[in-house]
Amino acid sequence: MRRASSDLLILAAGTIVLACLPAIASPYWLHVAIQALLFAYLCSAWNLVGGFNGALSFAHPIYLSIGGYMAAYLGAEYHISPWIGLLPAIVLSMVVCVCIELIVTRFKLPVLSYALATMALSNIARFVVRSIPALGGVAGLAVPLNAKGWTQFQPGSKSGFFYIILIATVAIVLIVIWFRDSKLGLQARAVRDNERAAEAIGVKAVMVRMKTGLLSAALTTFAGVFYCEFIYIADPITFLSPMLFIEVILFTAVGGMGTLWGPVVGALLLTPTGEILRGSIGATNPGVDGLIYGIIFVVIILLMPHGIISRHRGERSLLRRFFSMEALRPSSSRR
Amino acid sequence: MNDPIILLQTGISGLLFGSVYGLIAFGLTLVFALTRLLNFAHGSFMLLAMYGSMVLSQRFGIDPYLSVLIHVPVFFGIGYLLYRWIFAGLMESELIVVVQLTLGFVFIIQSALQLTFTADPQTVRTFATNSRLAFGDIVIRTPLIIALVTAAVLAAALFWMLQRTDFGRFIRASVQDPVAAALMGIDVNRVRILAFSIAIALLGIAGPLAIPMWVLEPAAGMEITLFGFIVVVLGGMGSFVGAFVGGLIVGVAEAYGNFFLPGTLAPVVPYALFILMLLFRPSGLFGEA
Repeated sequence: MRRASSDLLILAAGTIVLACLPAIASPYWLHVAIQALLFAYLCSAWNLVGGFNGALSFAHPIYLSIGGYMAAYLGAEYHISPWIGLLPAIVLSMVVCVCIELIVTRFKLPVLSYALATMALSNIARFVVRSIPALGGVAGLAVPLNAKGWTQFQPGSKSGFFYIILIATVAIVLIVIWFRDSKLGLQARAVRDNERAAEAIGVKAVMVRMKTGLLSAALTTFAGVFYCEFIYIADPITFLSPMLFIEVILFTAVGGMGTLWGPVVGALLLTPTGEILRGSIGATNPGVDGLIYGIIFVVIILLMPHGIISRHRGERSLLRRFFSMEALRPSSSRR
Repeated sequence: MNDPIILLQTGISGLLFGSVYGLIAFGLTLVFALTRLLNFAHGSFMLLAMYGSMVLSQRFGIDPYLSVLIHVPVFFGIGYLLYRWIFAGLMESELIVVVQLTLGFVFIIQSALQLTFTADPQTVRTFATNSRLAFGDIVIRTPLIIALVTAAVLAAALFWMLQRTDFGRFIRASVQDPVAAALMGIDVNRVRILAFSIAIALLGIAGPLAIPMWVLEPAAGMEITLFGFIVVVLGGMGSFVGAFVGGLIVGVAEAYGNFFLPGTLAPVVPYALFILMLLFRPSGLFGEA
C-alpha cells in the first residue's frame, strides 16, 4: 500500500506539470504532447496484457479500430455522439476479445500461439474492413464536419484534446495501480511467470487471461474513439497496420514491461524523439529517422532487457553478459 | 470462368509457389526447434536478399537467379555473426525479450530499405519472368517451375543431411534433449550457430526464387515472417516434413483465394485457414498432440 501512495504522489505531480503545458507550448509541441500521451495510454493498456500477463497480443489494432470506426460510423450515419458510441464499441470489443481468447486457448504454446493467432486475426480484420464499402473501404470513414462541441467529442482546439487525453491517461494509471495491487493483477503475474505452478495452486489461467484481456480491450477501444476524433478519420492504414502496435510494444519494452510507469516513461520519451527525428533529418531523407529510432530500440533493449524501469532489480545487462561470454557456456534452461 | 483447366492451373501454380513458403518455414522450424528463438525479423532478412538481388541485377546485370551464388555465403555469414553476437547472449533470457529485439530489427531493416530504395513498390526482371511452359492444356509460368525444382532439390538435401549425416544427427539430438546431447560430447552451441546460419542462408535462396512473383516493398518483411510462422504451425511445430507440406497448402490456399475472391479480400484466405486450423487441429498436420 505504501507503494501505491508514492505512485499517487508521482502521478499528482506529473499531472500538475503537464496540465500547464497548453499555456506555454506552441501548437506543434502540443500536437506532439497529445500523441505522446495517446501512446502512453495505449502502451499502458497493452501492458496489462503484454507486461503483467505475458501474453504477446497483436489483437489491439482490432479494438482500436472498433472504437474509431464505431465513432465515425454512428456519427456519420445517425448523428450519435462518440461519447455514446463508445458504449456499443466497448461491448463489441469485449465480445471480440472473448472470441479471440477462446481461439487462442485451444493451442498450447503460450507466447507464440498468442502472437501468431492475434496477428493473423488483425490481418484478417484489416483486409475485411478494407473491402466493406459501408466502412469507406481503403479510404476510411471521416468524422462528420458538422459535429462540434465537447458533447460531440470535438472540443474545437488542440488544448481541448490535450485535456481529454491527459485525463484519460491519469485514469488509466489509476486503473493500472488498482490492477497491480488487486488479486487479479497478482494472478496475472503468477500466470505469466509460471502457468503450470499458478494452475497448481488453483489459479484459472484462462479466466485470468480473459479478464485481463477484457479490461485491456475496453480501455484500448476508448483510445480508438479518441484517435479517430483527433485525426478526423478512421482508416485501415492508420488503425489496422501492424506498425502502430509494433511501436506500442517497443515503447513498452523500452520503458519496462509489467511495470506501472514503464509504458508511460517509454512513450513520453520516445514519441517526441521520433517526432524530432521525423521533423529534422527524416524530412529530407525519409527512412533515416526510422533507422535511428530502430537502433535506439535495439540498443536500449540490449542494454536494459527489462526496460528503463525494470521489474527485476540489480540484474546484469545483456551487454555485460555478452562481454563476459557467459552466454556461450552450454546450457539450455529457458523460462 | 470456372473452367476446370483454369482451376487446375491455379491450384498447380499455388502448389509450386508453396514450395518457397516451405523453404522459409524449414529455416524457422530449424531455428525454433533448436533454440526456441522466435525471430520476427526472419522475413525481413528474406526481403534484404530480394533487394540485394535487385541491386546486383540493376548495377551489374547479374540475373537474380545467379545472385544466389553470392547470397548464400553472405547470408550464412550474416546469420553466423547475428547468432554469435546477439542471439547467443539471449539464450538465457525470456522469450519476450527476443521477440522485442527482433521486432526492433524489423523496424531497422524496413527503415534502411526505405532510405536506400524509397518506399515505392519495385519489380525485378529475371530471364524467366515472362516465359511459360505448356503441359497439354495447362500453362505454367517458368519461374514457378524453377522455384519448385530448386526447393525440392534443397529439401531433399536438407532431409538427407538431417537423417544421414553426423551433423544431422547432432541437430536431432540437440532438438530432443540439449543437455543429454551436450553430455554425449555434442557441441550444442556450435550446432545451434550453424543451424541458425543455414536458416538465414536459405533465405538467400528463397528471396530470388520469389522475385518473379512478388513486388518488393520495404514493409513486406513482417508479412513474410507471419506467413512463415503460419506454415510452421500448420505443418506442426517442429516437424520438418510438416514445414514443406504446410508451405504447399498455404500456396494453394493463396492461389485459390486470389482466384475466387475480390482483390481486397483475397489475402484473408491463408490467415483464415490458419485460424480454422487452430480451432480444429491445434497441433498441426504432423504435430504430436
